[in-house]
Amino acid sequence: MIGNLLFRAFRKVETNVHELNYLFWECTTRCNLHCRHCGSDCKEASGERDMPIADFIGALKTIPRKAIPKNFTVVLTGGEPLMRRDIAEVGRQIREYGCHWGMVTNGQLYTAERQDELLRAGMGALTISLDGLEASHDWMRGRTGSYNRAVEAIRLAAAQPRLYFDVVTCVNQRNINELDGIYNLLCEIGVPQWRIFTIIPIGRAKDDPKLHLADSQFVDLMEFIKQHRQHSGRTKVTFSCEGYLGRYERVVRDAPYFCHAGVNIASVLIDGRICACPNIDRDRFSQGNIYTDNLYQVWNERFEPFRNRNWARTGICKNCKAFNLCLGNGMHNWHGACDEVINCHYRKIENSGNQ
Amino acid sequence: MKWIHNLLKCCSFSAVLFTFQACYGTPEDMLEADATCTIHVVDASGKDIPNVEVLVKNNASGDKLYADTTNGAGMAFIKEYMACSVVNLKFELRPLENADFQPKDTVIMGLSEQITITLDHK
Ligand code: SF4
Ligand code: SF4
Repeated sequence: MIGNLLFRAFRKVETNVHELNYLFWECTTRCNLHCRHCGSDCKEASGERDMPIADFIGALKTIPRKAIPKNFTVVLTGGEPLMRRDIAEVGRQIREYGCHWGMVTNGQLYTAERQDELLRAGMGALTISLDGLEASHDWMRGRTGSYNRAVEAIRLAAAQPRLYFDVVTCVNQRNINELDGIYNLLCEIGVPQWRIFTIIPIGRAKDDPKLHLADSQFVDLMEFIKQHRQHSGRTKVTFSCEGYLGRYERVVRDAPYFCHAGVNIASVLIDGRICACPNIDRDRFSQGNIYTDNLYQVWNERFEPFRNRNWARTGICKNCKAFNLCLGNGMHNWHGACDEVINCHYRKIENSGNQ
Repeated sequence: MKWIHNLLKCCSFSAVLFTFQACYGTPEDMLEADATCTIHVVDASGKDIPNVEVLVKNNASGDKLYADTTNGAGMAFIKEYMACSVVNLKFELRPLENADFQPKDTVIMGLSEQITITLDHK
């Protein structure tokens, strides 16, 4: 109880101060895989051109150096960032401006030579996706052989002590029974952290029942994470930030649930729009555009819907007793008219009746 | 508000509250400076050699990263060497007043907080 009050006070301070320290750059929407769950419908040859480096760096430089905290991290995302040949150059320019940088990749183009080049450009954080054992991963990613390449990339990254590295897995009907196998594999490789999330029912994923967990399976997943956090394997298991988890709060991840979108997280999207996490409804929540606005000014003066979530008191959230802790779940769970949250993790847990 | 935020940030017990990663993002890169290490320059008997210029280079690209001079205890503090992530650094040491010692080039292939390099007499 006191812990919750203190946490809410902390969240209030953080929101009022809203220090920007995590900036996504959707640097391309080209991709070399065809994932079933991808919200962004990326293609090998995307209709959108990659944003030129100078455009992004120009936007980054609107943030005064003195406003850049020590751990400020620029996260390159896509699409598949490694489809661009100039990522190392981007990284160097980000480092020169005093920021850290990292990248989310599917691992298909992540070779030893590429890793070396990126490390030399100051890459400090990396996330690689692995969505199951071989058949399930290849099914999910839409390409035979993609599992083997991802695992090779994971081996390379895990052997590199400089990197803050983790593997992410999107849990679904196909891979939920493979969690032990994936865990053993990651421990054997020496991956420091495994982060698990579930699928947001948007884009291609919305109408694919194989991608969604039943409420009881979701609770099984919570139990899996809970158990694996209790024994000291080489790989730490954690659940993503995606939603408020009621009785599993502080059990399946270190910190209490807090959607940092627009509080500490911003993004520059492929067309220059300024938003927060790239999985948020960009038509609804974008706050400006780097081609017409000053990124830092937008950060300081807009982002109101992210910092005051009272608008989320609607639909099932309206009279929810957990609202003060949940604030209507992660921002990425609100799309379109935003009259109803599309995913409530707390209810899944409560509904399952599994204690 | 800002001072409470800064105070909390300094408290190690609250560090966990400040580290996060978005679902589709990476962990934060928490390395303080890019890396910091101490170069300790000694002679063959282990005695400190002061006033040696230490130049750190990225061995792969040849970029100069940092130059410092050892103090009285033979120490040079290397504060910023981002390419250390590739753990392939070249140290060039040039004695500025100890004419008895030979300059030395040495390549380091492993990260370590303190690196001891021995200079040889001419
Ligand atoms: S109903 Fe809304 S506020 Fe309540 S737990 Fe679910 S998402 Fe959160
Ligand atoms: S929008 Fe979603 S992914 Fe982003 S911080 Fe909030 S919960 Fe996490």
